[in-house]
Amino acid sequence: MRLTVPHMGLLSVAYTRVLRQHGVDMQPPPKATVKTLNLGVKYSPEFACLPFKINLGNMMEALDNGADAILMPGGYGPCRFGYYGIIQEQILREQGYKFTMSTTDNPDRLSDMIDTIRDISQIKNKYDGYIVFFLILMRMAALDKATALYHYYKPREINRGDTDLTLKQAIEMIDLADSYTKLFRTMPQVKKMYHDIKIDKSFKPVTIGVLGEIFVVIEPFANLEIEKKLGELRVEVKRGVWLSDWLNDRFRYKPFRRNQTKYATKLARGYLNFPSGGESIETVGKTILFQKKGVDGVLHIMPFTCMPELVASAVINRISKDKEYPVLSMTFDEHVSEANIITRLEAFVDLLERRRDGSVSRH
Amino acid sequence: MKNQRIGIPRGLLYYSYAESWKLFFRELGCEVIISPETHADILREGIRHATGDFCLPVKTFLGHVALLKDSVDLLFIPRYVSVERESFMCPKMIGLPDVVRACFTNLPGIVDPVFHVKQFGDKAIHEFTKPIAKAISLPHPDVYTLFKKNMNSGAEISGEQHRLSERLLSEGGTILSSHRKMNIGIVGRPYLLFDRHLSKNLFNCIRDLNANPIFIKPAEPDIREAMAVIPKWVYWDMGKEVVTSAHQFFKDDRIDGVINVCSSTCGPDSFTGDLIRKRLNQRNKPYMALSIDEHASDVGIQTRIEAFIDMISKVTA
Ligand code: SF4
Repeated sequence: MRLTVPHMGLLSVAYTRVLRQHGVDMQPPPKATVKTLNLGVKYSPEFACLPFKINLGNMMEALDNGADAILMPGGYGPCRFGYYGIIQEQILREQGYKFTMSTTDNPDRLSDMIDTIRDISQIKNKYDGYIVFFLILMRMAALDKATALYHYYKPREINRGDTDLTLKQAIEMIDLADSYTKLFRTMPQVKKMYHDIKIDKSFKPVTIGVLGEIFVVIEPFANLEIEKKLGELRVEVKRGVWLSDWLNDRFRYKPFRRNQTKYATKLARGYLNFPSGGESIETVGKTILFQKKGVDGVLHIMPFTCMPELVASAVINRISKDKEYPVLSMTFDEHVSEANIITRLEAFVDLLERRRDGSVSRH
Repeated sequence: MKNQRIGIPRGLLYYSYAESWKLFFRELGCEVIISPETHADILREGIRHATGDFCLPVKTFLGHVALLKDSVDLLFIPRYVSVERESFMCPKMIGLPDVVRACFTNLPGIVDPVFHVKQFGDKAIHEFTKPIAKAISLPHPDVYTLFKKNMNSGAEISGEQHRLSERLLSEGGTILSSHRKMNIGIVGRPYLLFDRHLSKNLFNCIRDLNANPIFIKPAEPDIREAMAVIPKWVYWDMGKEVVTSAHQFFKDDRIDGVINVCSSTCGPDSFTGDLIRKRLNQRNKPYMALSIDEHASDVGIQTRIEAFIDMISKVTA
């Protein structure tokens, strides 16, 4: 069995090496490219959302490269994600692919996750299963940490590109840290590497909170590397959605970290009184949080036809009016053009800068 | 407080539950005001108020809110999250009251009780009626009892829906108006099918082409049966019904073809449509997805239906 799992941000970096060590023959999909997207678009239902299409393209390319088993997380709604695997399997079979497909339909139950890991690996003992699973989660948290540091240093760097290189190196180092001890030793080194980047200490960048549907937020291919683009516009990104937070809310591998969903739910009250699936409640709650904390504006990104985020976007539009707080919503699908994204980002950053310098009135 | 004017927008779940809501509020002593059938201006207003890319039914709903909001004391916009243990409504339906608040200023009070069987189980009605009792200042036990009593009065397809669609499978399996040549199974969400403006009078249009439009509201056992042959339980309340009706049409030789009416950007429909297509293809049963958005014209829809029926008659001839 050669196992493949569709990409989602840096998630595959977190688990591939560890699972290989435990006897799983991993075949991650090649990094998504335009070809991946075109494949996905060609075979997907027209109004499927962008993550679905990219996933499908990932699967096709991985199968073409010799994978013969797919693992796709599932669930039971209300958003479409829980049904992705079923429709994708149907499409792949119609195209004549031969493979086995497993969906973990209960991603909220820790024991189910552990069982899945044990099923596919040579891990016998349940306890070892937990150790491996939490190592993967910790590695994910480390990757997120490296990304957060990137957000801080990128707008301040003096030599263009230094920070991008550092992030790349940091990812490689974390990838190599395949035990708790190594991971523990690696993190200070990663921090030091960032610390060594030459930056303009006096520069106070404009800050933008990035929120929205989790796949589009954390997968640079899906959002046309929007965080990098913001960094190049010398904006400091404050991201409100992290894969490690999402995992932590479910599995509590960092016992003292606050449950982000509950926190957001509290903040959202009065605007969104009930989570309507996906990241809707995080989007609304954290827009309010960012506004309170003095983040200059919010960039809300989502796939076209994404149901939970459409609800969220209507609601944060209202918040924006009520609190005179700048919010920009952007939808992503296979038709978005890079030039259009850049123009809109520039205009938004420009607005935030002028607003901060007081040259536009707040009305 | 009696004699309050309760406004119910004629959109979305209205088409599934209105009968019971109306009875319920009337018995509570309220005056129930319902917006008129959708017409072009309502839709235009809805589009004007909607932010972003909401689907046609949500936009239409907002249009009905716009029309009602200044002439009622309270708007009734319940938040149906799940009507049974295994499924959910679509996210837009779950967020509906908040969406309405977000899209309008100067709203009257909104009563938005939560109906969530998946979470509250047997206490769902209890939870649902609490905020209603509070909003109209009546004792909760009375409101609860009344709601429970009237709850199922809308469960059958309404008289209006009966008139529009011919019924099959009942009455010993005879098709009611067998004088027509062809039977076309129609699947879709009630708020799209039975809103004559949105569905462009689909039922009549089919009848004019000398075919019977057949719509069935699946019963519980049918749903279980259909879900057993589908690869995974369809976890959307209405999506599940759409798939089930399609499954019944699939089995029934008297049905010559199936039309799936959906709003073009509907999330669940984009997936259930694919499931249905695959199943019907297996049996070579003609299938057409008729997706509707605000740009759809009467003529465009008619032409597509004509072409579909034409195609079937050539195949069967
Ligand atoms: S089910 Fe589909 S048409 Fe209905 S509100 Fe949800 S997305 Fe819109």
